[in-house]
Amino acid sequence: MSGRRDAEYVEYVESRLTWLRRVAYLLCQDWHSADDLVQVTVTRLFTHWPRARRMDNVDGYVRTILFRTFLGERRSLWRKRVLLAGFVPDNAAPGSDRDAVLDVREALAAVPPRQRATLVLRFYCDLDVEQAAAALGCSPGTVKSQTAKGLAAMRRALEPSAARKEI
Amino acid sequence: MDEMHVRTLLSGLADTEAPPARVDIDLAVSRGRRDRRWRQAIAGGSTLAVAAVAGAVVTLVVVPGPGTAVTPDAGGSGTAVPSASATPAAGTASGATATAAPGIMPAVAPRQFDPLMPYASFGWLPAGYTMGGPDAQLSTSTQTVSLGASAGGNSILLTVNAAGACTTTGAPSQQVLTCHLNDGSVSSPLRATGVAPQVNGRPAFWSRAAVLTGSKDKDNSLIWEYAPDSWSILLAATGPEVPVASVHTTLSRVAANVRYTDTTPIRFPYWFTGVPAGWTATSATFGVTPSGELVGQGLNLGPAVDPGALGLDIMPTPLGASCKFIAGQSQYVTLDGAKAVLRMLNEPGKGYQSLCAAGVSGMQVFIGLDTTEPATSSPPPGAGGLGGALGVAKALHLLGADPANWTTSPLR
Repeated sequence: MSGRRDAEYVEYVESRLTWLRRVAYLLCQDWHSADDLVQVTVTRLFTHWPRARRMDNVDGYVRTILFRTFLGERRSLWRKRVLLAGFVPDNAAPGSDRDAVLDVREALAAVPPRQRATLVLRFYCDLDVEQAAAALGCSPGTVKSQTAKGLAAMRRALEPSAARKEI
Repeated sequence: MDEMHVRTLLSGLADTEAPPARVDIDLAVSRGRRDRRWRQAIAGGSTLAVAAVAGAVVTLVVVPGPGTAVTPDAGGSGTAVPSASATPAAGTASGATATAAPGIMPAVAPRQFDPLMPYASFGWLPAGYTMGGPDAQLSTSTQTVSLGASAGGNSILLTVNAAGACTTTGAPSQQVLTCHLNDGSVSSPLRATGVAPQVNGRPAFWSRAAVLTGSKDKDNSLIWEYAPDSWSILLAATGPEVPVASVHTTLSRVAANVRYTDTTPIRFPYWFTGVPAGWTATSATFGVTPSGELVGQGLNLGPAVDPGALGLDIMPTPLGASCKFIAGQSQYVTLDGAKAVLRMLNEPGKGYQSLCAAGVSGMQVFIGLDTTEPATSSPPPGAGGLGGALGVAKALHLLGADPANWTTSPLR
């Protein structure tokens, strides 16, 4: 029984790995940290898999683990519980897209973690305010304010580079 | 910038070409299974523990106030708390004005802890709470000891920082505590929300940093200077229905009974030879058996610049354990007659090897190794190096599944 459950878990994680890594990358802005975050997330998912596998929305459950781990790990006094060895250099985007990608990455990095998590949930994961609030464990009002602040922070971070290009 | 523009930017960034994934599903299964086993052990280890969990919320709220008679077991842990059998009389620390218990606080704290030996333990916990769990972790370079205890949906986490690891700024009622972590980073500041009653005569303050649950409504902290320039932190995660005053009362009592200089070592199911010069054990995770033994589950070793260069996760083989073979990265090898999977990543600028074996002498073995460290891949074992994950495996001496045969000296 547990062998079949574990096989289901492995199959699920393999099928969602790319998606999880991309969401984690948006939160962390580097693939090394993103992989660490996903590693912790899927470990926690395994711990709760007997319950999680029966849920209607497993993706939502694992997404919540990911975001709460991200926010918790940033505050945590015991961060880096799972250490993956080795440094992974980020692949630079090819050609003329590279500067634009770096600009967006830097702009996102300039947004405080909770606001960044809110932006990613709302505008990458396409969650509405109530769903984002549930994922973050906060009120809809907080999501709204964090969204507004996050958008403003990102706008501020992108404006200087836009101005620079016009000169 | 409108919302549509942000969607486009985020999608574009997420579509950036990704390097090969380092996420290791075998490692997730191994560690997840370890955590699950611990939870099951606690849940099934004692009918007392199971029964107590149901009343945990109520128990957390109803801590007797000053002057209320407390019988030792009424609020005592009762189960699986190392050193708790010698719990100071529960009544000595009743209410918010936790009174001193002679000898509990150290005069001086060390500047570095031994990751194989807990420096502190709970002397008292609310009924139903049991110590250990996934967050039970000891480390040396960040100087923290983290002991978790939980019951139902509530949890308490104790972190003890070594001397000099933390700094405080600000007036007592507005203090901000910042601590240096294992990996060289700095913790998020814990800001005082008010001055707390002294803990055994030492200064203390409250904080509501959202550390455990991510919600300030659910997390409360008590922070106190347990020795000069040395800080302990108690975090409690409870439902918002639990009044803050009650949580504070409980935290005061738990804090007053924390026992330092605990000498109960962790027992490991193996010993390992050939640790490279300059490497030390940097962190360990452990579980707690129903009889109160500390059982090693994970161990990290490395040089100062890479404290997690080698990770060992070794435990009795659980049912259904298996190792994942990844085409292009993995190969089958034999370890003590058992089939094992060796995974090697040799991308430019990084190197990683893992060895997973599901049934070697009744043990599940998972070895993770950063092969960018000079000592890990060459020279070979016995010549000051580890010889890769296979070399590590060959230098492991497994002690079987019976904890009676395990050792408190895993590095020789």
